Amino acid sequence: MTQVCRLTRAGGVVQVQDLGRKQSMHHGITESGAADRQAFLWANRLLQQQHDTAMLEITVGDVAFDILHDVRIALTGADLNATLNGSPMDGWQSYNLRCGDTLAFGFPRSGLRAYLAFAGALDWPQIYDSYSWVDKEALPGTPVLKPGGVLRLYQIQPHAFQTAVPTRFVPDYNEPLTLDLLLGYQAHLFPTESIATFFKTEFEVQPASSRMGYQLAGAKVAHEIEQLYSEGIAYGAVQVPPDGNPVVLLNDRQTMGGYPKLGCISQRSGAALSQRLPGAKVRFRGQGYDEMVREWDQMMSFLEVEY
Amino acid sequence: MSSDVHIAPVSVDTWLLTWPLDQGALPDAHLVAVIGKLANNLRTHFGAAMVNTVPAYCSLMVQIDLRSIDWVHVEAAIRTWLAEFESTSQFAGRHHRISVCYDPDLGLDMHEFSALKQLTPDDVTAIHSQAIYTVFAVGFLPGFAYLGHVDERLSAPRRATFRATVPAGSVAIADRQTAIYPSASPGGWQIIGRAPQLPTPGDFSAGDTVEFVPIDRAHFDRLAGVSMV
Repeated sequence: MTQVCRLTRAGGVVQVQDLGRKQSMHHGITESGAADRQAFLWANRLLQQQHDTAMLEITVGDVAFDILHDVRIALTGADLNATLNGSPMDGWQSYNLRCGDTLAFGFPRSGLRAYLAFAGALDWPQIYDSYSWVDKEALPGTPVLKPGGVLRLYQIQPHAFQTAVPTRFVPDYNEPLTLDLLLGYQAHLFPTESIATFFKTEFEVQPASSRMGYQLAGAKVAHEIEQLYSEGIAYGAVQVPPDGNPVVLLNDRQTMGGYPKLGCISQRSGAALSQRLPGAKVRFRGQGYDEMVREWDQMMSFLEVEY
Repeated sequence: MSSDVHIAPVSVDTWLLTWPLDQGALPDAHLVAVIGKLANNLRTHFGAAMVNTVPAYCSLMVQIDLRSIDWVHVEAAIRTWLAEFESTSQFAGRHHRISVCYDPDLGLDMHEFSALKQLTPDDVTAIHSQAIYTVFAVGFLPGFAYLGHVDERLSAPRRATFRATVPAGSVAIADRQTAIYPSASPGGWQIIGRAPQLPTPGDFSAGDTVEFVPIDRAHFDRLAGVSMV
């Protein structure tokens, strides 16, 4: 086991993430996991390691690390003005770092969450068979990475040639976003005009958005549906509370809720949404179930997630 | 029962089973036991291919691993089990006896609540601890169980103002539901007591039954002291 880096500054949020917990929602334990699965999977692919190997999710930025051992890393997701010993770094590629290097992140130029993966396995406690954690759950044994904290790696992998994601596959988090939505079994409870309004409206991401959910505002999606009995909430669920402002629920969502739901956005749409900052504009378009599966299959097989 | 269920995809890998409720009817303890049993069977039978099951009141959310199974096979298993369950009248979940101290020092809303319901705190204690409750769902917080149905005499809406922090162990009421807060959390339910020992995730499953055993303050302090060790 090798000490690989020390967190020296944490203005933004630094979390260890993998692809989240499984078989825990019936205990009230949220899914968690990397908010942008696409950027997460690319980072592990750049290092040619298991697709669900845990890494750091850095939100907003203003974070710095001292590198304590020669190590290979990959950087994907948001452009948070990363620098290596003061020199700008490009994202979506791997780097060979040396003991004594300083790796720093500034503030977002594009996107919100960067992924910093290490070639090797992180020494980090698992909760519910996952390396992901959620501060607010305060589960016993929840680890926190604070300034001064050190990360250690098992099976550290040697340096190798730099690899980079072909530029045509690098997403542009500044472009207007259209989210693919599968209309759900409760959509029929909404007035037809409200659904029409929903698909016509350009919504704006609100400041209160988080890994739990993205709050949107634009035209009100009017309805008079009363609170329903609480039921399980799927990733990407679009809830409409009585104020008519849709909320898109993501990784750290509560496991159950009782607000009416219009449907669910796709995994790829959720990943893209999680990279948007307050003020970003988003729209919705309908997607059929078969199309949603096709898109998911494409993403997974393209990113070589083991079948 | 199996014929009543409505099954619809909610996202790429998730389906929701819903059982319609009659107008004005409360969710039924037998149905939630069936849903809890179905969820257990799914997790046991399909193992890692069953990513999540969320049983609740009159629904079951089922998330599968699209890389290892097709929904048609899961749905076939569900229909088979539901048909089997129809010939069984009773499902035994686990029964939990939970000690609760109803001292108004710990039951932060006990005075206001009993006044609102035109009862004495002793009446509230007696009515609340006489019933056997069903676990209708687990969610909101890790280990938080929604229990019903609270006697109509104790049914009260959520507090007008939300508490920023409800102490861990608080036993509270909202409408026809009651619950124990497993950890300190914001909350708006009416707090009538406190349990000395906190539930942990995995303690409660949908379909289990719960009864509350009143204890006095000295007993509470002793148990709470023990549980801190």
